[in-house]
Amino acid sequence: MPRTNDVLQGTLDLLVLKTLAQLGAMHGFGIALHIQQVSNDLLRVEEGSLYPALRRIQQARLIASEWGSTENNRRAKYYRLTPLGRQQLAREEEHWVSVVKGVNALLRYA
Amino acid sequence: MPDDYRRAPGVPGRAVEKEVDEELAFHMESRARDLMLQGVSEADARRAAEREFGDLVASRRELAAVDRRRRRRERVVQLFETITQDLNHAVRSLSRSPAFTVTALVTLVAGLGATIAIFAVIDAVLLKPLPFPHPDRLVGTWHDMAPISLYHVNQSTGTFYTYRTQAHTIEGIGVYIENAVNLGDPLSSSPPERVTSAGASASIFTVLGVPAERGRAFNEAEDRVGAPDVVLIGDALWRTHFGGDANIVGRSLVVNGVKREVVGVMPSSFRFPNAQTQIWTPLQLDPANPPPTAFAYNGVARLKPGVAISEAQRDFTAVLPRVVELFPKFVPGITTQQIMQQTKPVPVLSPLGRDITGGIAGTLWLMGGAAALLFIVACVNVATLALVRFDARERELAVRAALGAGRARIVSYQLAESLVLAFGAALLGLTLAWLAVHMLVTHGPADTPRLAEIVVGWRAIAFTATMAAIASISFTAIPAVRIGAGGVALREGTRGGTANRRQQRLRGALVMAQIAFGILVLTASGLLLRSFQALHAVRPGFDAGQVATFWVSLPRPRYAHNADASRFFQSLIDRVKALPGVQSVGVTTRIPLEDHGANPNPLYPESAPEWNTKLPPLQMFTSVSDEYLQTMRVPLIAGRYFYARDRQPQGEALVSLETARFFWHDSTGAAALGKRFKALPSDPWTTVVGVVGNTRDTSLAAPPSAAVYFPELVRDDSVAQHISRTMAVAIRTSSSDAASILNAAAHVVRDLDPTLPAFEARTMTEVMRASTARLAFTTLILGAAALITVVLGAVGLYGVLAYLVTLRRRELGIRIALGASPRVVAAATTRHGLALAICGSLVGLALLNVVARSIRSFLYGVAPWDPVTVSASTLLLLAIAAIASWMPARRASRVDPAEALRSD
Repeated sequence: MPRTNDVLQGTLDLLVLKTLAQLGAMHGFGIALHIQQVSNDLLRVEEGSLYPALRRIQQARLIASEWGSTENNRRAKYYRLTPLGRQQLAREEEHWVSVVKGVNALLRYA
Repeated sequence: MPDDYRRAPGVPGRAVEKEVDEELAFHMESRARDLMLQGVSEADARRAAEREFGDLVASRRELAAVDRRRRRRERVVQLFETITQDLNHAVRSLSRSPAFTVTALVTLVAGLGATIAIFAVIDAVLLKPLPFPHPDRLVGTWHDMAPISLYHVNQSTGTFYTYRTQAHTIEGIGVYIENAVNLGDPLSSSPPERVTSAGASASIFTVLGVPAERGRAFNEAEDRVGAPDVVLIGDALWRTHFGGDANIVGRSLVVNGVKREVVGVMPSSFRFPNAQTQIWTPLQLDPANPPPTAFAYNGVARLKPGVAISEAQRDFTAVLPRVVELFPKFVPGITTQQIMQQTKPVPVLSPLGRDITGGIAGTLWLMGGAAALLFIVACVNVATLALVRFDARERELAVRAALGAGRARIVSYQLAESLVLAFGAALLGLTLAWLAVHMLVTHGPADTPRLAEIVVGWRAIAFTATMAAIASISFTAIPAVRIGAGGVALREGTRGGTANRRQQRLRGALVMAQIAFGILVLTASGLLLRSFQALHAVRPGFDAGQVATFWVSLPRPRYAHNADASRFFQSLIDRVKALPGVQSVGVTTRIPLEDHGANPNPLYPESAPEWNTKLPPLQMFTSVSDEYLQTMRVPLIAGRYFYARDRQPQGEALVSLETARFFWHDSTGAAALGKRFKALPSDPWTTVVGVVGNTRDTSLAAPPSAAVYFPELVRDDSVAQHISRTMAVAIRTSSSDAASILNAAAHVVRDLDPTLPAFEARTMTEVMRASTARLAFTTLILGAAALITVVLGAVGLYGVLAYLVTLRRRELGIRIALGASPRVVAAATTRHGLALAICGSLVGLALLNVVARSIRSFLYGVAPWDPVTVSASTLLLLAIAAIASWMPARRASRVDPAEALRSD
């Protein structure tokens, strides 16, 4: 099992963006939880890489942040996609699909 | 709630870190809670969460830094967005009220355009330093001669050389004389022409410090009598006559019949002594043998660094007396000693810039004053309009305030609108000004100094921006003060409140100020107009109708003997007289109201020997042919005109009535007949044979000059004493087609001598018009300014009255309902309008008193308090005020009482 760090670094952005597309707005913990649950524990995002990634993606203006309150009325910082982020997400998905095809093709080659 | 950076509490840096902490803390807590839900004990869950976060906490500083940088950037972006948003909003808001926007724009464009154009002129002519190195050290050198009431007199050869060798506060001094030359070559194919030129000492070029762009200026050796003939040409002449030939140095040019070698080309920026000068020749002055022209040379000196003008003046005063011993001969027949005793010259130095532009400075500042007033009136108008608009939008702004916009925001909305208006108008105004300046440079009075340097450039743009900023601040000021004082609140029934009454009084005061300025400018231009009329009514002493003139100048090398010149002019007269349509022809050394040929000279009458020791008043010495005075229809008062050439001996003269009256004390002129006089002590006696009427020679505004006329053409057995080679030909024709006559005359000249140009061909009517050109121009500009100012004042008045009517609709409705006739109601409004206008006019006339002294110098034949002009402009203003009041008055009378009482 490859270290989650290596694989996820390249695709972490994709996962975060896709999560936000699916959830709308969510705080950091919620994003990590979602990724973990939906992938059936196959993918676990480490906190140490999540928050710098969120900053990086925000710097690139793909997501925006605002403070909100949870159902339990606790303050949390919510993130959501910007239109630019939506465009980038579509591109990244395409890219991922072609990478997977390529790797699969190589692996199947006897 | 959106991220509101402006509400971030405390120190921004700390707040960012707090937020990061909070975010991470939330994550940690959520993790712990999650673990607890899975059955882990609280304590264990906490510890597990903390363990997972260990690294993260350490790197929270990095996260904070990233956040901080992002926030800073977003703050800038948001500021930019706010500004753009405000401006966008301002534009939209302005386009929703087109009446206000268009009025305000037009008003501002008028005010700004005029101000910018006049600034450009004043800047180029008066403010910008002259295009020479260290221009502040250049001075013009003059003399004041109090005993004979002559001021601002030139240098003589002797004084020039004295200062040159003796004064120690100057680096150098040069002299020059403005003239014109014939450029003609019998061997070349191009027609002869007349070119403006200057005779200059070699030192002029070192004093001014501008090097030739090709070759060099003349050196001292070439400035001495007997040196080879050289010439310096201007860049424009080099291009048109030599095709910009790179080997220009060494080629030759025939100037006034003399072949001169070109030693250099001066750059096109060197417009000295004036913009038309294209040829410079060395003066070759010899102080030991001074020419008979006395104080004839303009002097320019360069002060040593750090020397004040007063110091140099003291230096000059100290060394001037040495001229008596150094150069004892002044002119043939008069010693320097005599001249110094009789005239007692005192050296006067003045900054060169003032010399070049001095005459026009007053006119320009007058125009500048009018433009400034116009600008103020325009700003006041727009400020008033903005105030009204602000009131109308008070509700909208109050809503904004309720939604959270602070006072500063509301003021910035106003400011945004003002800026859009002001800078929009500035752009249009700048374009207008550029057009106006372009037209001025191509069609304005050609004798305006530094005309070619007037340009709408960076300084004008900076000035425009400043004026636009001032304008925007002035529009925002009053609403801003109101907002700052009381905020903007949703108030019902604000109409009729005391605040509004106070504001109405303010507006009334502003309108009065506008009307005051309006009547000031209107009266001023009315006075100028009357001066213009008065000048035109001046009887010049001759009949200008149907007279065409042109000049010819015979170069001495080709016409060495007086007899040659005399023969030429006689042939010229005979042939021109034979042309169809010509009634009479005369030649003269001087045409009235034209610049050249003026030759003021003292006259020593035989019967009044007391003048031999003093300097008598100077007379205009003019040489004329026998029919000249008849051609110009100068009336004969006593005695006779000159005889025709074949009978006219030399030694006779005609004098003007003024001369006869002064020297021989007889207003009928009869006493002067037969009297004798001399021009120079070494001359033979001249006898007066006739007295003719006075003519205005220097300008229409100046008193008629005293003139003495000598015969240019005399009998073959005599030698004319006062023969000149540069003469004007005056032709009286029966046809009104001056152009064809002048054409035909030019042909005659070419037939007689193909190297001679016939130049400055004009009709006398044109000459007279040109002499008042500057006044005409000033009147035109001032009149335009007055018109705009008055119109703006009327618009302002209209605005005030219209608003008043709207304000008092209820009251008016009640009045009408109670039986007041609409006409009475309308009359009340008109009366209010007229009252404002009258008060404004009184203030304006009081202001006129203040400026009366400064405008006196522009007026002729009319006093600043001229009752006709003052009453005419007041009546005009009141009439305009009445018209401006008409519409609001009509509206007042049309108020429907039922509607008025129902509304509001």
